[in-house]
Amino acid sequence: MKNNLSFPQTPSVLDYPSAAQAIADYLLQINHGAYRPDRRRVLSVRKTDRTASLRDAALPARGEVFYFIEGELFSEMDATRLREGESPQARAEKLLHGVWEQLQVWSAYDFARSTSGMNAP
Amino acid sequence: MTGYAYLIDPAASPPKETLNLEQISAFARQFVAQDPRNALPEGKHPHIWEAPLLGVAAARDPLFAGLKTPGVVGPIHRSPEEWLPGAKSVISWFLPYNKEIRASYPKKSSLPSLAWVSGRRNGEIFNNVLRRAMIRFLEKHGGEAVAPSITAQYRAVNMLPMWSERHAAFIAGIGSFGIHGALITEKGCAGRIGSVITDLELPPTPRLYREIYEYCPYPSLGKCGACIPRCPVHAIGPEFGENWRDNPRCIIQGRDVVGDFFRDWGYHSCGHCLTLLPCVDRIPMKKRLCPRSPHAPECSH
Repeated sequence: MKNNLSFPQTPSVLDYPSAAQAIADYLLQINHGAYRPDRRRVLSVRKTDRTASLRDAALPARGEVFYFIEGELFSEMDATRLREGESPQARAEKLLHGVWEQLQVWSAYDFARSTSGMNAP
Repeated sequence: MTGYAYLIDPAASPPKETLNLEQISAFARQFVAQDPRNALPEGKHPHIWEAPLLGVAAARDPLFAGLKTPGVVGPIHRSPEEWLPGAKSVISWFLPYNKEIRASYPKKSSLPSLAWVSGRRNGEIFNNVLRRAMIRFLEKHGGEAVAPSITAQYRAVNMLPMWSERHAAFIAGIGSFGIHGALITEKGCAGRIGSVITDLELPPTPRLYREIYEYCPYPSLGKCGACIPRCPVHAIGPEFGENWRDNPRCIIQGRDVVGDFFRDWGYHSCGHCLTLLPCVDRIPMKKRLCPRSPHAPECSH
């Protein structure tokens, strides 16, 4: 069954503010009281607007891809531990700065329709 | 949860450990079995891939240089050393489709099932996940690694890729080609292929074949050829010369015809030549195999 819905053009660039906000929120939660990294939490990216959000790992959802925050996005131990006096926002931006280019490439390939390259139509 | 599998402790500074294919295969099998992304997003979320088949090629294998030859892949193809200076090994894998997805393919339709087209699309996303996990795994063991097919510089021009997953798999002993263009492996041809290049020295996997089409009985014996009439747009056959395929015709069917039918789902890609054939989940004609092959106990060579 087909319909005549039209979809807005999908942006090709991952949305930085939402990714930074999601990571900062994760850091806030796992550093509250004591440092407790949560291996279940993932950064989920939506295809339609390339915005990112925080959620638990689960079965894949249509139009979304996700990346484990601990280990997959940030591979070094204790990377997500807040340093003395450091805010979650500052740490999130520092962490994202280190992986941003890579994350752009990952998500571009994960949303690419063909295997001819990340910018292939 | 798979997040643990990636963690690297910088304080540990691991030496370049001696890995072997068995250890790498065990990691890949466990990852494929446990990562939640190996599932269709629709229906009852069946697994997309069964346990992978892995092989290793030496980065200096002369066959890689041959891939730059026009008509093989072409000058656009890069060698392992060009992707990763100091490259020693290429780890390649074949991910076989889950039986449930293969069985969903309709026998008499010119179109694939929803499960198939979703598996093709979402399965390649998981293949990317596995590529990245394999890189982390090798880094954890002191190596450097790159997956050419998901680097920023990778591209394919006129269907000629800068890195051919199928040819790398051929060199890594995974399988030989069928006239349908897919690789025929001991787990069949219905699947996808991935690889990473690493500077870790790994023992190469012996190739149990000598010819490009050794596991496909049609080129040498004229037997089988089941994929020829199965193609809904007649894009496979001897009339297409030594490559056996009319690639543009195949692309148009997958991208435009199937893609139009599944437009609302966002999927495309045909799979007729990978389903309902003797080579779907095995190597056909085992008697032809090289006597070194464990698949050919009755070989009379």
